Amino acid sequence: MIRKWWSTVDRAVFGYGSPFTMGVFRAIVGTLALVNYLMLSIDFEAWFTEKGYYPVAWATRWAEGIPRLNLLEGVTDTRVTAALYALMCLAALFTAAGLFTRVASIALFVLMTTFAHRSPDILHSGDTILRQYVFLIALAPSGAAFSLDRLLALRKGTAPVEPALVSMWPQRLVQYQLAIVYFTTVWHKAAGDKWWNGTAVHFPWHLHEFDKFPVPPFLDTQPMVAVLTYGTIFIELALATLVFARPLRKWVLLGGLMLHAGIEFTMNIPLFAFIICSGYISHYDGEEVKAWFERVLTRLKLKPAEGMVTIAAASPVEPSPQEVPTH
Amino acid sequence: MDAPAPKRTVHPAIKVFVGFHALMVFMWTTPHPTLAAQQQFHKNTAVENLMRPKDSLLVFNEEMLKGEMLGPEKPLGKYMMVTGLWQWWDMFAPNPADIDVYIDAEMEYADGTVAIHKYPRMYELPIPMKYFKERYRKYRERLSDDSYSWKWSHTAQRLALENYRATGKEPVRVRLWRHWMQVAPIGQPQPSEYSGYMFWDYQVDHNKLMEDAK
Repeated sequence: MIRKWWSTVDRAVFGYGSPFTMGVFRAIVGTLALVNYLMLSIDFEAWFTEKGYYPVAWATRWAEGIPRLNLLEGVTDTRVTAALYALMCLAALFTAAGLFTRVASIALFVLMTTFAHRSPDILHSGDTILRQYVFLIALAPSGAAFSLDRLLALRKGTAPVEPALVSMWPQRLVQYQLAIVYFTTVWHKAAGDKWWNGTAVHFPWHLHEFDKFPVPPFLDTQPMVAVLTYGTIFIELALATLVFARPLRKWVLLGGLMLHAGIEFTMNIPLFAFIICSGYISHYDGEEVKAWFERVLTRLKLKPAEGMVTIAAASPVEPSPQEVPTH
Repeated sequence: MDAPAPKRTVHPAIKVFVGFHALMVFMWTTPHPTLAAQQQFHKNTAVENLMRPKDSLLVFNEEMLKGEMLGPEKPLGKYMMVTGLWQWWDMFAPNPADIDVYIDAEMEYADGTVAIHKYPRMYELPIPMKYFKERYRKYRERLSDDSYSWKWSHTAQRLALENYRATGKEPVRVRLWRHWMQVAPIGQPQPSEYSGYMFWDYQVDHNKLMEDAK
């Protein structure tokens, strides 16, 4: 029985499938990373220089003696910091486009971790989850589909029309990461009385430092506040559990999109909703994403670029050992 | 008859890595146990602890996994810290914050005049700028608490620089002010007035100001 269970887990996590989902995920995450760092760049001096709010020495103090991946450790020369920042933006652009994907995504991860460790006080949850995503993108063969790398290789004739299937474990780790975020946030909330008594969502709406668009007054009354408070918990828990049940997947993800759309509308937490929801695509196989993508392009009467969308459908035939990619 | 299709799989080392990564992420993100739960755990017998699985898991995770086996000082425990994969998902938890806070700075110039220098306050910014300037709110969040008092002088010096650039007048003292308003429970009238007090008085470093202003 254990062997059968392990075999099921093994197939689900390490089995092979289409690289398309990770390709699209990479493009979205790379774009969000680029937007994030371009937005942050307008206050570059404030956050990343000795003249600013956060001098380099504070990063050392924050690290508490534990070594951290930080290429800017002890670097006080603004020109070096600016050069690495520009490189990070370039790496994000290349990751989004899928150009030199492996190198670009590894560089992006190293540099975004460097800047996170250089000035940790300005990080929010969006930065943290973005870092986790880019780590998994760097591990995955995420340039195998929906990328300029593939397009160029097809034009040169060095790539097969149908790319090799890839092991799904990086995509499964994205799903796992999302489940962890939602599961542990519910666990943390379980210790708070305002979540139990159904009043929690009322409070952030009155923190003016988060104000964005006004909350309709009827929502800030009972029983609406209780419905939204318990609804938040239910959706978050479902995003960690029920989302793995295929018949429920679409509805759970729709609930998650509505939850984050509501937060995005009422509260100023830049990019967080977009970043976390970008991971939702990991719950869909490459064939499903590709089919959806092609339907959209057909409706828009657009012809997909050869190679950007062209990928191998999940072959019912097992490939020969030579075709099995190794990581 | 065709030979059976080869079994597709990945290298065992990858499986070990995936399992390790998954364990580390779970271990790292699990909430801390309460002090009471920790004390109770050590008083209880093993059977009693088994009857309290949630608390026991949290204590085991905190003391054994995160502490003895995979803590930040242990070789494997460095995995999350070194790589930047550390994470903690306590958004709006255990309870959402219920105090609205902002800060500003009182600049005193050499001629004795005083002016308020605004630290970017999200509430007052147009929506597009809120998106760009949110890091200021985050920094303020990790500044205004008394446990961060070691950051206050440097922050005051930076605000003096911003003020000098904006006004052309050289501040000689900076006084940091904290303003707050408690959110009333649902159904009660919300206060509109903020309370405030000065939490830091700083004499500006003239030489550094001039150097930074170049």
